[in-house]
Amino acid sequence: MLSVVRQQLPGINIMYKLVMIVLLAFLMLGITGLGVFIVMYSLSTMRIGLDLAASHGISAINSSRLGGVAIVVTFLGLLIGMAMLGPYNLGILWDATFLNLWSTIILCVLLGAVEDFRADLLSPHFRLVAKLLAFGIFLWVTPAMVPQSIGVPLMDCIFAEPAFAWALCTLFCVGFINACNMADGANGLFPGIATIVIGVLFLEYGRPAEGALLVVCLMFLIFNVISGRFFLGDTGSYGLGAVIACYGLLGVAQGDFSAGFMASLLSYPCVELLVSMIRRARKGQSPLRPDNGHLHNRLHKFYEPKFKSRVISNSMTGLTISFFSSGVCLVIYLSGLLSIRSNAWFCVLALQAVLYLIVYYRLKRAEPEVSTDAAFGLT
Amino acid sequence: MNQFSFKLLVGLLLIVGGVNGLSSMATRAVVAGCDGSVVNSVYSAKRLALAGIVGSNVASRLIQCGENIIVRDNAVRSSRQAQDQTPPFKVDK
Repeated sequence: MLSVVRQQLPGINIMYKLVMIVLLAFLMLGITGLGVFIVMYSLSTMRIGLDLAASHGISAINSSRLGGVAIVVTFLGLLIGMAMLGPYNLGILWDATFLNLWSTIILCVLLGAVEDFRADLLSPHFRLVAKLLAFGIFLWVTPAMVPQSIGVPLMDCIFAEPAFAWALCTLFCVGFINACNMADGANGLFPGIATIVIGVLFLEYGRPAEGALLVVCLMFLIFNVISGRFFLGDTGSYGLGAVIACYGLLGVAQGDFSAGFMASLLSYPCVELLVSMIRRARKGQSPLRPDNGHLHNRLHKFYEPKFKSRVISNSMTGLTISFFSSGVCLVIYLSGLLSIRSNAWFCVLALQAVLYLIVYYRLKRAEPEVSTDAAFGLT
Repeated sequence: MNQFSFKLLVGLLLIVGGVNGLSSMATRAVVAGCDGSVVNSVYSAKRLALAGIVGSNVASRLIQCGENIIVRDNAVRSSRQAQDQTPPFKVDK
């Protein structure tokens, strides 16, 4: 009898997690949330997007990388429903800027989707050039998206020249998308940051696209953190990265919030990318070479012996980082301590960078720089 | 129909059901003259069942924003600040 129960234990464990997700989904998002959960669950069981545990730095279980695809499917379901159902829609308004913006986002999503469904079909260099071209053309034909100043004296001299501003913004957008892809290494890390950023954008603008994305990202965050079986994949990290980069840039260009505020909200991916590139350059490696020396890898090694479940230590890693980076900004924003147009947010960013460096150097190196080239298809 | 398609269909139907309920709410808000009766009833049982705590708040915010830019199908867009807005290149239908 006992052996039968033991055999069923993994099943019971998974059922327990699924029940928790269902309850949270219903509490947070009602039957809409249940619908989003069912779509995500069914996509997570597909064999096509299965990722082996060895291909990720932290995850110890086989997971699906179709999280981004699930986000796209449910987002479109919500948006089409909002546009089509009822005689009045929920504030959807078409604008030429947004047509260009969403075309670029869709291109990034497609690039990621190709990689998720057929790994290594497109080389990393091809994807990089494709993103550079997409954002280059987008920002060239939509000059209203390029800020004329960002509140930093030296940088403002560069931004005063439109061609330099365009080039810098293009590089920033592509670099940021790659940073998001890199930050998608622990449960709830990038989904947590994305949920917070999209939540702030929704509170500021109240546009339907952000509303639908907030609902979908929140549901994905719950699923990702509790089950640990669903990753954003390239579709999700490229797509959400492009959404955040484009909307952030637009907000800064329109003067709705300061560049410091966006930089502070997105401090983890940005600082992590810079530190990783410097670390690799100091070792004489290519700055784009993937490795396991990130802060989230180190923090996970710190958490691992403290929790019995590997999923909990993984999720705790992601949630801790997302809370102490974007979460702190959300708290300051909601409390109204700083105006979102204030350049004092650069001080918050500096404090976050200092905190990052202190924690980074205090934590033991997670593991000797095990190359994940094979996982990333660079060998 | 295989199991995967069935689950996907059920999920999408639930999403559409939830959004349909929220769209009806937006209609009620406009019919009521945007008097706040719909927007303020965030925690009514029906709304919580449809959209939950977060979804209900999101819906209220969307309706509030939509009150300023009401886009009605088969009709000309009316707006409280029509002069200040960029003209849309496409209005629904």
